[in-house]
Amino acid sequence: MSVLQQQAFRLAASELGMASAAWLFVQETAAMGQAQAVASLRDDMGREWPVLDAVCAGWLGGAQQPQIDVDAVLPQLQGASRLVLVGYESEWVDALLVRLPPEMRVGLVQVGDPLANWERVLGNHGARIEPLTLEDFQAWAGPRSVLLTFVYGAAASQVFVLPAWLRTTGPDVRLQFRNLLGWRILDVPMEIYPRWLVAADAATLTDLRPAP
Amino acid sequence: MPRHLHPPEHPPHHAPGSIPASRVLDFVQPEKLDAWLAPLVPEASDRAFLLRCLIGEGPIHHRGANYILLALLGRALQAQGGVLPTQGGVPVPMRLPPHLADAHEEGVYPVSLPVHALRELAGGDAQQLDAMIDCLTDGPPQHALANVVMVALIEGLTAAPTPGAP
Repeated sequence: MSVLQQQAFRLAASELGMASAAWLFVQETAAMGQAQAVASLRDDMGREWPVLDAVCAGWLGGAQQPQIDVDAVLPQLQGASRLVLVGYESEWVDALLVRLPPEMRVGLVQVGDPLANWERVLGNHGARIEPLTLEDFQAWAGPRSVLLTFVYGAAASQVFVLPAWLRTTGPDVRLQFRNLLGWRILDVPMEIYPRWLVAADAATLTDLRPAP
Repeated sequence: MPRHLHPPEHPPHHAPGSIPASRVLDFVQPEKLDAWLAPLVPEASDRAFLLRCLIGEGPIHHRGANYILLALLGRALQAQGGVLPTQGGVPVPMRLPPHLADAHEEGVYPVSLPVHALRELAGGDAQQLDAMIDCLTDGPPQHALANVVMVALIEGLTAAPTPGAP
């Protein structure tokens, strides 16, 4: 396992999000060496990076493009004036932003992702995504406000999400936002226990899209 | 001591917890509540949010009790031919952290507290009216919003025409 490879993935994940970085690595690796190279990537780095492992497994199983189903989440955002992102995945956020009305404000809670470099994440979006913190994200609460997080896996009554979700959906907060939306971004079971993520009760979400 | 020859008139008492949690809320009919609330909260997505606050989250007994009280009042209003107040009222603020008091722009629930009946109850005393509004709208949303909707239903009832009146 190359230290440089590890550092490169960590750097990419800090700016793109773990799933987006994983897809970048897998697709670039596949472009050079097809299935054997992806299998080697999985063997080399999968234990350390469970999301990358899942994306490799998905690719080897035939899912060779990320599932970015914006149409699945747009109905839950209909009529909303503010969208608060809890977590960040560049592939999904980029695809979503171009479909949102420009007057809808989009904020990002800069906490709870142990890898993220928030300054660089926000820098990639200019003023379109506004910085929020755990201390002030409730300033965006309201009956037209939606909290959205990325769901990396769902099993029975649990979802795997970034740790910030556990705070932002406390009983005091969850009735201050119209929807608590989970966007499923990995459609393959994670075979390695998802370090970097936390297991949360699926009931913390009012909507899980695309529907399992 | 005389023996009881007849069954008691009150229904059999169920000890708390004797009904499985999964069945406790079988009597809740969100669509009925939704229909009753439509004049008060015209926007469907607002009503969905309000229903989640009233009967969708929190302890089961609160959700059930909220439904029962609102349904009873809704049925009474329907029977009286009354209507819910659709205008006026004071905003119902979300209880956001104090340091955000000046920062939030939309931190109010999509329903207003009607104050006509309260104003009469307060006898025109503005301070008492303010205190009543505080009591009704403070606390967890399950309580505060149920209070607000109940006041609206009661206001609709008290404004309804009295049966048999000329």
